[in-house]
Amino acid sequence: MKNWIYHLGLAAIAVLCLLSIFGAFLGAENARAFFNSVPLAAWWIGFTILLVMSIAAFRALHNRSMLFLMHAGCVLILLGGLWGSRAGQKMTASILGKPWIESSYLKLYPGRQSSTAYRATDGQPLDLGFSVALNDFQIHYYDNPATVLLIQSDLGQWEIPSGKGAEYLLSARAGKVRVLETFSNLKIRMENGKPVASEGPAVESNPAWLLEFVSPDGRATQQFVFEKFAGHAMPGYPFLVTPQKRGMIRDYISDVQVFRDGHPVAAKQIEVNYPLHYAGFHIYQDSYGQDEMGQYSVLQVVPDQGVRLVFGGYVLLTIGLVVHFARKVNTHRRHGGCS
Amino acid sequence: MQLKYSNEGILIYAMMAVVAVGLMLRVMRKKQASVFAACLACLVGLSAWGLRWITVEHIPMQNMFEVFLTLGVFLLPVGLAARRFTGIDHPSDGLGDFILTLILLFPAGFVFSDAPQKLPPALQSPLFGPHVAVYMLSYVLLAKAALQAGLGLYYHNRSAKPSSGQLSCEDHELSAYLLVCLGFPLLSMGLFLGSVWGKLAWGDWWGWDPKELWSLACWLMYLFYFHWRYLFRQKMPRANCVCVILGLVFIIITLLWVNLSNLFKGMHNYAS
Repeated sequence: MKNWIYHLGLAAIAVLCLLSIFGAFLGAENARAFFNSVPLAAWWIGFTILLVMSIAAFRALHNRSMLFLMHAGCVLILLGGLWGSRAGQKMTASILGKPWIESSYLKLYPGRQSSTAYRATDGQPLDLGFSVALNDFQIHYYDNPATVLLIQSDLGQWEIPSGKGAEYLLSARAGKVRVLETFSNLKIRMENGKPVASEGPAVESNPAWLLEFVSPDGRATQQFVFEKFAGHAMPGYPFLVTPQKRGMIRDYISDVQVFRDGHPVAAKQIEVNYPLHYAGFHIYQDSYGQDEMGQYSVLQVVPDQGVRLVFGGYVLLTIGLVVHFARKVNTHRRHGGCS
Repeated sequence: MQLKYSNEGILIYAMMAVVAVGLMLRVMRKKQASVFAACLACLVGLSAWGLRWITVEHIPMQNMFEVFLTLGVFLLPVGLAARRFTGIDHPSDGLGDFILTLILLFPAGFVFSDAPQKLPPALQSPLFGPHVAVYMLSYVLLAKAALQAGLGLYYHNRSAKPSSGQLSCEDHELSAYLLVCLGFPLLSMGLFLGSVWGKLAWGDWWGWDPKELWSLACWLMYLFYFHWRYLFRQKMPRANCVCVILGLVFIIITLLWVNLSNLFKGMHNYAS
């Protein structure tokens, strides 16, 4: 019986190795689907049972604590993986009678809050049971980023430098564009009943550009573009212009607060590598973007089911491996090494 | 082929030259002089590595140039430490260290670009250094193990019995086993630290990325080797040696093919 279990275990390791190689050729998404499919779920359960049986059957694993730790660590990792899988999460939610909230995304604008996330798999809205407010969102660059102007219309999309004076040909049908003025703090004052744009005091900031579009028939149209109201399309303007920063990003940070029943329950500045943990979920800084409503931050909400088991398994496995093999090498050395 | 004229590049070439001299001295059986050459090579290599750290302002393990530089620079000191730990003192092991150092420094010196790169947000993790460092250490030890396994196979295939003082296939197989005993816990720690980092950065402790799957295959290969060797001990030295060599083949695939080939698209592409 013990021989059978050992040979079966050896074969299972070889098969898992081959499956991993096969999965590597599928790409991450297909591999995830493959390793979570029903036959593979049966395989994972069988593999876990085999490991438990081997711990029960082999006396060496009971007498040698480090060997036991290594195998118990593997069992914990597999159990954590099974419990944290989609099927495991779904089953737990149905047993506990709770709504199943799987990995989803929150799109938040500064100053807004939301309790609705959108499921990663199909975009379906999910109620989190708590709301997340974005107090502030910041992007930090390694060096001063250059600003470019993204011009969009039905005729196409172009990107031009934001420096004053230069003229750019968009296309034969769209015509030309010229940056007439640049402002770091645009102020509008009235002169003889007409609005006039001018540079305001440097203590405030309202970066803006005055562009002139010249159509192929020679008709010129002037258009203001504001950094703080990016993507704002003025009625009658044929072009949507969005200033965008270009540079190597060092970090992007969302200052968030979590509310439950209207009361703040958690707060953190979420960065990549530093998520917020609340009520069995990790909330991550995922990405950011800009649309007609301004800049927004995308946060990822991920349930943490099974993670503690997996990490506990890593700790047991690491302790077992380091101590067991250190002893093994030490024993060989004390017996004269292999010179 | 890309020659490097930066200070790091010149130091890499200097280290390669000292290592080549050390190798020749080793072949000529001038052990003391070769040890001196190894120490000098370590100093030159560590200078290149330190200079690179200052230039890029982060631990130099981000791209392929830095990875091969790290592997090449640390092989000799790690080899020396491994000899102390295991008691392995074959002439072939010392010779192998010089050859492996030259092989590992070659891509850093002539193949990969040394253009400095800034760290993207995901790589600015306290786990970046430990994760890559333990992987590098394990790769060095497992490469040395594969060299011993290769020698084991070579002597196994020779029909003549080794003369007195010469090492047999079993001796090399045992050396390979001891080196894998040192490298495998580090390989495991690299895998686990990567998984913890993945959870903190991307929300998942396992993302089924091609690099992750090849790393798992690599880990499973050595796991298979240990279970196989426990079953057959040294009755099948040839099969044991083949397992260790296959492990290194998987490491090379994980380190090079997955990063450089368009066949495996994934989130580890920044390493290329």
